[in-house]
Amino acid sequence: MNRINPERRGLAASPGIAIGPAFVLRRERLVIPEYLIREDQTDSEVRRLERAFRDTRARLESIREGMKDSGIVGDIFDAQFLFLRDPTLLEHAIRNIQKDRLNAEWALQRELRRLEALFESMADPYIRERSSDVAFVVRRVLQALMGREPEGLKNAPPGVIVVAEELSTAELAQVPRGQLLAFVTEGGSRTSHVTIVARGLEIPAVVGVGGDVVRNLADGTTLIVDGHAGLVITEASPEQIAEYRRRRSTRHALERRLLRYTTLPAETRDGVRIRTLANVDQVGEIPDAVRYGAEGIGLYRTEFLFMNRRDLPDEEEQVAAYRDILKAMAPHSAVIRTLDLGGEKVPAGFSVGDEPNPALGLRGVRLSVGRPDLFGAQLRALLRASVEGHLKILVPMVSNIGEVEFARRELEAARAALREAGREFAPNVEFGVMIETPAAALIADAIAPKVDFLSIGTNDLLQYTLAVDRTNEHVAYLYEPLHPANLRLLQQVCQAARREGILVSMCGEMAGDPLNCWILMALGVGELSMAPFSIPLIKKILRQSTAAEARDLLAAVLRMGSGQDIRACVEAHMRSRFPTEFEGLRASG
Amino acid sequence: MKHSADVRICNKLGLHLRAAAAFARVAERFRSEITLSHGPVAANGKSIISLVTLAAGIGSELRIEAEGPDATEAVAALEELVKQRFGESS
Repeated sequence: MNRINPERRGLAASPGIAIGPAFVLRRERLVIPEYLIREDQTDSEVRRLERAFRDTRARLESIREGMKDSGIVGDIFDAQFLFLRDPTLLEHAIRNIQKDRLNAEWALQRELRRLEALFESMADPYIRERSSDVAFVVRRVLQALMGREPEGLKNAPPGVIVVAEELSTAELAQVPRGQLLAFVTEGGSRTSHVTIVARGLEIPAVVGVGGDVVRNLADGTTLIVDGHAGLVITEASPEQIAEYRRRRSTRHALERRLLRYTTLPAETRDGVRIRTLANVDQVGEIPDAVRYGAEGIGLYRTEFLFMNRRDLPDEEEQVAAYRDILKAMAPHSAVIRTLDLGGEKVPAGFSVGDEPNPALGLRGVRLSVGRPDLFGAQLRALLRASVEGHLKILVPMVSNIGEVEFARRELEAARAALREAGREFAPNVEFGVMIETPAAALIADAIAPKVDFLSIGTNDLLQYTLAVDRTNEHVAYLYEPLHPANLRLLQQVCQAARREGILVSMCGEMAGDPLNCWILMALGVGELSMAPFSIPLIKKILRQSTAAEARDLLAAVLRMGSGQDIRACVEAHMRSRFPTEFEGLRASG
Repeated sequence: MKHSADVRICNKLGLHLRAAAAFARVAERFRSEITLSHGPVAANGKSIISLVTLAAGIGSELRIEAEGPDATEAVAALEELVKQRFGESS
């Protein structure tokens, strides 16, 4: 396998489309010299180390100076800077020289290993990730010690797409603004520093594409980077290139025009108002969501608090996290979903054992039924945080009425416990459940009277209804959100909610696809929750529509028996009504 | 001269990276040696690496100690910083 797969999927880290030659950042393996020095050499060795620190500081200082006007990365960069100035790092390395007679490189390398082990043992995933910042800083000092030029992007010609195993913000900052088309990294996550910087610089980026891209890619290879879909194409055909070029220019023009829709409500010409909400995983994403016009959070998943750690977060830690979210979103509402773990997403401290079929196993509310202690702590934490904003609690994966009643009871118990303890909580906390099993959709009429709102999770609902795992390439073609079976379930849910006078919202990818917005509005979905950058386009389309024409389209497709026919009909209709909008977006997801 | 004060971490994220950075930055302005301890673990108050590894979450009780010519001022400034939640909005 020395050819890389011509298409790589990673995480969509920063939106946009770029086409251009690859600049592959290959890292030299630093072979650290290790030898013992004589006692009379220790002073000069210490001075050599101190000089290397000073030189590195000066170099990074000048890089930082150069990026001041970009204004975004300063904070992040400062953290790396502080590591470099940190007395612990230098003092310990000096001690290694003086006590153990190690040469400067070895002394520093040993201190790095110690720190890496220390960071690795920390519970906080954010702090654990900072280990790479220390490693970056140390690498620069080692290079200075060894008289090596730090590899970097300084030699990158303008107009390239940088491909690297990992990138640091300092490296990214060396490239003058506007010179870099996009970047792709093998590692990284949506919370990596480079990801945040890419969004700030507004350049497309795909991270986490996996191993061996760097090794197998030649400099100058033409790449297509689709930062909306998280896709990298390495052996693009001329047709693909032409197609993406066109898509890019349409998209650019569209996005510029769309920005003015962010502050306007998603209201049709005949006065039907839909709320557009954002799916958010981190509190840091909220300012962006607001910028794109989110009127609240439609889904905040609490799993992130529980994952990548050895212990479980206690009530206090949860209170702090939920307060952050609610406060940042206030006065708008935030839907916070209780723990939905199971299958592959199992945190430390939870052992549900190996399940042959995790999607049908112990997850969501089922886990809460089994561990009411954890569920109770989470509910108490949510209630305590509720004074900061407008909280809506959402319980996932219900498949029978008993689970709804259980969750309600536990919520009442949590309220009673807090009252008893004299703790404050908001009186207006809403309680809802997720409709993501066909069973829940079919008994929505029995569920609706027991809740304040319903939220349809389309990703799971579709998987269960159509019996399709869309990550399985053999059956992915069967995954069709507009399948009549799905539309009929949605219709039942909306009717049940309407009878009860409660709100239906929808999260999941179906909600963020502008193609579906007429159908969903006509069905009676009142809130759509999506990735923030999808919001402006949906607002624009709805503002130029009437609810009446959307209802006509829905009536027409509900008579059809084939998902393919429905898709063809909806696509043809929407495309003729909004030619530019759908041109630029075709097949981007 | 030696001076100390007990404080309680009241920002939501605890003594995380940014808070530790703010603490170290203020500590650096003083000539005194500054120690921040969390139970039995003590950290060099001028070292962000050392501070972060205290793993002090919200509600943690910490002791600030300073020894040197400007110990009183240092403790007062750092105590204020912790009380002001490290200059974070919350």
